[in-house]
Amino acid sequence: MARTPGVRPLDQLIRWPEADLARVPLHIYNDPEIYAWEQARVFRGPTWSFLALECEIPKPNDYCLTKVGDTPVIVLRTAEGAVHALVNRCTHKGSVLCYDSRGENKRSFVCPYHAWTFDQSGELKGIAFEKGVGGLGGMPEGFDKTKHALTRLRVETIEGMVFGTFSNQTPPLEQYLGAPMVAHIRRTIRGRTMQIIGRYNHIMPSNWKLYIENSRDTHHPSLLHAFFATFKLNRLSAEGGIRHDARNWHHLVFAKRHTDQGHEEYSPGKLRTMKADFGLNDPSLIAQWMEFDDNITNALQSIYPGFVLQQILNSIGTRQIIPRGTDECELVWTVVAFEEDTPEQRAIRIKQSNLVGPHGYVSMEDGAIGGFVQQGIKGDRDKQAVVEMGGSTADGQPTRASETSVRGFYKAYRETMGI
Amino acid sequence: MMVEYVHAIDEGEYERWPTFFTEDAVYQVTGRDNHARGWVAGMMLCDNRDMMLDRIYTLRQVNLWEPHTYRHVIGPTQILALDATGVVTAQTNYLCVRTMHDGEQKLFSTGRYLDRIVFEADVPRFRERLVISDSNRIDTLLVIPI
Repeated sequence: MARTPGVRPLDQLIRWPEADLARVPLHIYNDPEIYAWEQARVFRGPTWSFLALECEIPKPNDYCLTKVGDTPVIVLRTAEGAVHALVNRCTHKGSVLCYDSRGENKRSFVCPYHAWTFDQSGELKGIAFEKGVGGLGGMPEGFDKTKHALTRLRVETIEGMVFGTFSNQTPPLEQYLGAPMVAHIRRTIRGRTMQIIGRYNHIMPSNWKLYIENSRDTHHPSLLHAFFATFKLNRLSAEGGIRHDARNWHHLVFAKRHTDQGHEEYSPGKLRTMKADFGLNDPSLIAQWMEFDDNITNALQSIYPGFVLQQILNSIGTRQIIPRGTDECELVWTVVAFEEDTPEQRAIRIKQSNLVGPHGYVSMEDGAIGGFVQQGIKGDRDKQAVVEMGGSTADGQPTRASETSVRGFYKAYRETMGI
Repeated sequence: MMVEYVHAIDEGEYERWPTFFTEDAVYQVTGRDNHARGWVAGMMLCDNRDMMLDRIYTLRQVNLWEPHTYRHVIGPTQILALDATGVVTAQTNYLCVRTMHDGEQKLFSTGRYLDRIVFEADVPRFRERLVISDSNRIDTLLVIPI
């Protein structure tokens, strides 16, 4: 694979401490050169990244902006109705072509700087003053516009969610996800028509990988988030488990709150997060209807590298990670309802948006905790994280008292980075 | 009322916060863009005073966060309407700076309050307080109401 300019080879930058997956070197969270390699090999490598919801570009000629890693991307619906994704970078001087986060009736993309014009497939169609003025200047005779198209991503959609990839090596989306992941995505959306009801742009003071690890860390919810433990919404003593694809790249973690049998660890006074004496003045917040036949009440599906499909009670939504340098990232939360919902169901989803996002009763700590790690590791870049709960492999497990899904992330990370 | 509200929050008297509202009041923080697009699931949505009490109890006892305080600066209140039943619609600009326990200060949010105010036994209370933040971004977390 090509070297990233100005960056040392990866084998000089990372030495993974163990052959197994139970250790993670801490300097991968704050090294700018490793960050540059991640842009090339993870985000522009053989992976599918979530781009947008189809309902954000409902009509022909609609567009919206997103990012894949650091790279700005335009997602658009063509005049014929197809979804395309183009890098938002003029091939002339590198300016972004679109600077408004969304728009409609956009049949072509004209650079604001020197008016180079591209069509919806990214082909360069026009250059202002291409023939010069009065026979003087202009582009040289042999300048070939077909060689200066915008970079175009491959695009596929599943259940109203648009994914894109830069690499020709990436398998087709459903093959990349694997059958268990595809099945759960279809189970969650069920062909219903999404309507966005809210979006939160959550800035986190940590490396992007620390958030993704957190979203996969199945044993932290009832230990970090007192709200989960106190209301028995997601405790390790409820039925649940971890499913994965054949490569162990993507993981689904789930729980069934109504099966909670209790455990000695949750006895009063043992855990900070178990507040036995607290009841909600308005318990309607956590009243849910059983939306799914499998009785799963809490499910987080993490798709490598940076996407999460969420079901917290009846709050359904997507989470997209956007790195912002080594020490910061943005998590874009989009919560949805469905056209098929009754007004009562819609009201429950709106109310349960209190559970998620930067203000969420069960998620606000996640913004802080990655920052705590980022602060803690600063002086100890040569040390390692211990990821050994539930063994040292990345298999699916019938318990959530395990870090198998975090190990799965690092399995995928090492395979895509080539380390 | 506008001044007392921000002082109660800025001085950490969070238990006073629900007392500025009627029992059936709606409090919501949202981003300008969410608001413009009619996306109703904003941040920190309470549709009655009990939910506000729950927010304050969890802030004190349940949620975990690095200690910080706010300082609000508010502009003059503009009365937008007064209806026949005595409901006043008003808006007020605000600026909210967050100070962390180690002294770091950051502009946390600017925006406007869009309020519907009623008088209960001559005491003005919010029946609705919509906090429309100019930015849709929240840094780290939102635990103290704005």
